Amino acid sequence: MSHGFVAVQWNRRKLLYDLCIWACVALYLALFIGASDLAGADALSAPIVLMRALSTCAFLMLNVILCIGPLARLSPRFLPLLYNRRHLGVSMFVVALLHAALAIYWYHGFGVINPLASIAIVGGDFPFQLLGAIALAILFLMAATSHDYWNATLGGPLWKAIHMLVYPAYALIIAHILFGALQQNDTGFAPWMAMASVCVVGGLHILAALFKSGADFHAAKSSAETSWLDLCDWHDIPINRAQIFALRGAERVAVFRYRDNAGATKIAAVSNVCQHQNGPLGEGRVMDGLITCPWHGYQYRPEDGCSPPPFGEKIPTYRVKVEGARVLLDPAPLPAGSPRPVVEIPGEK
Amino acid sequence: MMADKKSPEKPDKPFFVGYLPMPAALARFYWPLALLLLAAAAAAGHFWAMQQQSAGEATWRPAAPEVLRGVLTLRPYPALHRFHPQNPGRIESVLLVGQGKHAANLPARFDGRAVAIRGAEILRGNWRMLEIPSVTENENGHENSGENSGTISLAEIPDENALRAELGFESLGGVVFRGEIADSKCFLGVMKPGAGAVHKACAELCLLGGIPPMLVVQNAQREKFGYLLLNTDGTSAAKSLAPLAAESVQVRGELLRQGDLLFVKMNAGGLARF
Repeated sequence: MSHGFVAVQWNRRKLLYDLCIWACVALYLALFIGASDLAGADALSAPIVLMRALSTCAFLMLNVILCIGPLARLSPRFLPLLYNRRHLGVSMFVVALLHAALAIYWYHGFGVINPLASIAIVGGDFPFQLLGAIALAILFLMAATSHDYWNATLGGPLWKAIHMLVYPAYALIIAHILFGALQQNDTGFAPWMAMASVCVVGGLHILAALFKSGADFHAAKSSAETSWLDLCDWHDIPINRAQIFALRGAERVAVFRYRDNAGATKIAAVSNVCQHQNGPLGEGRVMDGLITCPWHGYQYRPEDGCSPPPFGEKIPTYRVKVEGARVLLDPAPLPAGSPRPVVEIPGEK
Repeated sequence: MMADKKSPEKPDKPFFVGYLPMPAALARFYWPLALLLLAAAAAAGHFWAMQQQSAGEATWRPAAPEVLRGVLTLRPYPALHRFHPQNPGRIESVLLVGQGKHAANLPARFDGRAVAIRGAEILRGNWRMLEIPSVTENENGHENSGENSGTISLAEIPDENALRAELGFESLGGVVFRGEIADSKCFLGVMKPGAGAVHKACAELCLLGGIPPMLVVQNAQREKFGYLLLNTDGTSAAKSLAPLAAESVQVRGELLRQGDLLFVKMNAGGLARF
């Protein structure tokens, strides 16, 4: 959480995560280069082999990155993969950058035109290198702004919008492959990999969307008599967990049933969107009396939507009331960090 | 309204928070997964590398420069012609190119003269090319022994006049070929593979730099043949063909031979994509 900014807030989890990333990268590159024919008269050029090793490695890493989001939505078991996904993204950018640098040096260097300028000048009617260069520029923007400092400075929505550019970047990279390696007569494997990538990444996203819309989200129904929305029976909300409700024309609301530190059972509603990276708070849980985001562990008090001191994050809150067993919600959000009465369920300990 | 049917009071699933110890149930899942990912990375690297195909037998020896002697011709493309070392009855013509993506820039006064040239050999099949570093000449313009010898110098070779007499262009008639326009330097061995769509930008820059353009024709047995391409007036077609580098074309023209180099002098309108 953002009490202060340091380059990397290392912990054991992040160290193991990064160790695993770079061990996989090193193994992939070593096996690719080792299995390539680099000796003898029919050897491939070493820079081209390295270029291919780096490009395929970065592409596989991008596919893993894109699959983590939907996997984590399909099963919370995959949330630890999401926790340090930014390090995987920056690592992927570094590998892609090495590929690009080598390609520019080898294919565009030593000529009569500036190598960087030549990317836009040569290459025919549809220069596939340009597609890759634009994708790399997007990945650079994402890597450069991946730190929490930029998240806090730019604000969650803008930061999130920038990082959603990974999808246009992915589309550009697929086009980079389609108009480049896939046109090469001797790379018959590339079409299959591109097709498999689109099927797996696209399929997982569709599955996640279907799974979530069908099982976890509940459209709130409005009462004809008042502006309060009748949400659910409070028994249906798991203890220390939430149900998420989609309000028409507004964002999603997470309604938590939790036991506070004194053991009383309470109902509180807050915005479903974590201020950190827009994580789904309603998929988190209440720990030590604090709503805890499933993505990076950011915490908020149910009473007022504020992170506990010394942290400064705030989220909008909602008023709720309980009539009988029914939970009712005032759909008008209160400003971020606004305290309001939290409903205690009598007799529930 | 759909309700979550799971029992609210049943034991909670493990919940991961990055800065807290990982729940034991998740740790039991992630250690095997990490090992699986490592094995998958290694297998994927090996498997993908094995999908690469050979670019053919070709060699570039930048670390072992050779000195070749013969008669130099500068047009349409710089070449050194000599009687073949293993078959003196046959002429071997060695294309000359500069370093990087540049043509060989040789002084005009050496044109038609017997010279010694030092450079890095590029070999593919019966083709021999020499990559010449930036041209330096020795002080008196003649070949010296030792380190003072320049990149190019005049030389004395046996049967010089007989060799020069063989270097006229011979017409072999009209031809129609289909193939890919490649830059001869990369195709003959500097880059492997040195052809195809991925190599297009490089090939285009090579041709813009004056490297001789070559039409690479493949027969039914997948054997490759290279023909140097000339404009309709018989001059270098390197720059005019640069936009078509790495593309498949049909060329109609006149087949010419000089030494053992084969050229296609393109007819007007004799070039088309296919």
